[in-house]
Amino acid sequence: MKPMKWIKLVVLVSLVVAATGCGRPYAVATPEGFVELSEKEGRYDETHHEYRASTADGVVVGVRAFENEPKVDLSLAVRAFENRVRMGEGYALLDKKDVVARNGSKGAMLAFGHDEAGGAHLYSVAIFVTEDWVYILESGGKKDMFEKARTSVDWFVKNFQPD
Amino acid sequence: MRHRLSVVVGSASSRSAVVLVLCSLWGCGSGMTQADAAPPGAYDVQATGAVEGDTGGGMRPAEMEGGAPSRPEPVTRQVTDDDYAKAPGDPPPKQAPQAPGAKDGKGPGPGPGPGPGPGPGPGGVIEDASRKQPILIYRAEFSLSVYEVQKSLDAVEGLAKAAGGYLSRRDNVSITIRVPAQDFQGVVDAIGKVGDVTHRDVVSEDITAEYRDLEVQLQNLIAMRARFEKLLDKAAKVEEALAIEQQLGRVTGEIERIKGRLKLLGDQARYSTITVRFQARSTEQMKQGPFVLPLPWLQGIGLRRLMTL
Repeated sequence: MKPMKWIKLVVLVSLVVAATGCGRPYAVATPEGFVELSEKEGRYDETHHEYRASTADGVVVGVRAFENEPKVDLSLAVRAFENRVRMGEGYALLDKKDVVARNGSKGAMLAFGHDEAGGAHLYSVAIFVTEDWVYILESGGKKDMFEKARTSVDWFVKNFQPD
Repeated sequence: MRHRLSVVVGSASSRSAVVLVLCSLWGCGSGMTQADAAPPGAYDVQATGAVEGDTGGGMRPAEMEGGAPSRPEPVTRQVTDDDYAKAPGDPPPKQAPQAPGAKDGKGPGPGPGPGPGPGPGPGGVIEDASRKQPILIYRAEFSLSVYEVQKSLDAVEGLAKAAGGYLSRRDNVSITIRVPAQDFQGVVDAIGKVGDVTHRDVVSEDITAEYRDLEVQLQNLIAMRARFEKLLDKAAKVEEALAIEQQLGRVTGEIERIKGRLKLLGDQARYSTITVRFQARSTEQMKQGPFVLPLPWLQGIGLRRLMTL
């Protein structure tokens, strides 16, 4: 193959990767009833490979991946996150349970409640930790709307796949 | 140590001097401490000779007329509710709202608190049976997470009413309730189930010494007032009457102040105060609380950021 063709192929692959978000260190599937939101306007945290999707009723799911530096394990990450959200932000811890990603990775899920403008909201966070990455899967919305979308949110977590 | 005082009142001209001496001897009436006081339960008021309303002690006409000096006849009398009942700032138990199904409609009476300490009786007076037990004031402060705040505020208020307590203060993010001391622990436990408690502070304060001292001071002052009133009746000159009235006013003011303080302490002992706040902890509080690691993935979390699309 000629060099020019190689260059064209590389550029093409890069464009496809950029367009599909395949540069993320994880695979995520958008749940039914959600729409994946564009990040082209730079509103989202591209540094941490952010993904976000929302329902028409404002229930939002999102993923961010952070380099695992300094190195933490899952239990420390969960404890630190709980302290930060509960003690620092005043969120009520409603539930804490183990979850498993699509590839079998073990994680933890924390469910919080918090009053925002407009009433009671629910906020759920699943955390997965690998050697290289800390994955934060957030979901939230008004309490009643979130309850309706809970099945989709659970599906979203189960179908998440860290690298 | 008990103060014993005998006063000889001679000629009219010497009465003013006697009044001054009397006053200087008694000072403000608060010189006696608990250590000087009769043991709890005895209330031997030999030092003062009389208690408010008691005519058995104090100076006798013969003394007033310059008779031979004699000791006041010792009088022992238990302080009763009547001694305090008219003090300002009556505690609210009788007006306290009663929740449906509350224990009784009479408001809580005296009774032991969550610990060994009894609360003072309804009139601010410690009952005989519990005089040797400590008088304790219980206070608790809670910080709860900010979730379904109005519903939780209602729940806390309901707990107070169900326990025979009452709402003291409420706004959008906090509530203060007063509950009978004997129900304090139960209500504290129940509040722990209302929401996610991020901080809890329970304080017990022993006010026994202060309360007993005040009781003794009050008795002394009441007796002193009775003496002044008798002296006033016998005063022959305007100057004497004015001097005595001045002292009467001072003593009466002091009596009212002590009564008010006793009422306040009694109320605080009978009804424990519990404050619940629904709020995130301040940065300053967080520094004293659980350590938060400076990790990048702990920044920018929460609903606000997530839902800003």
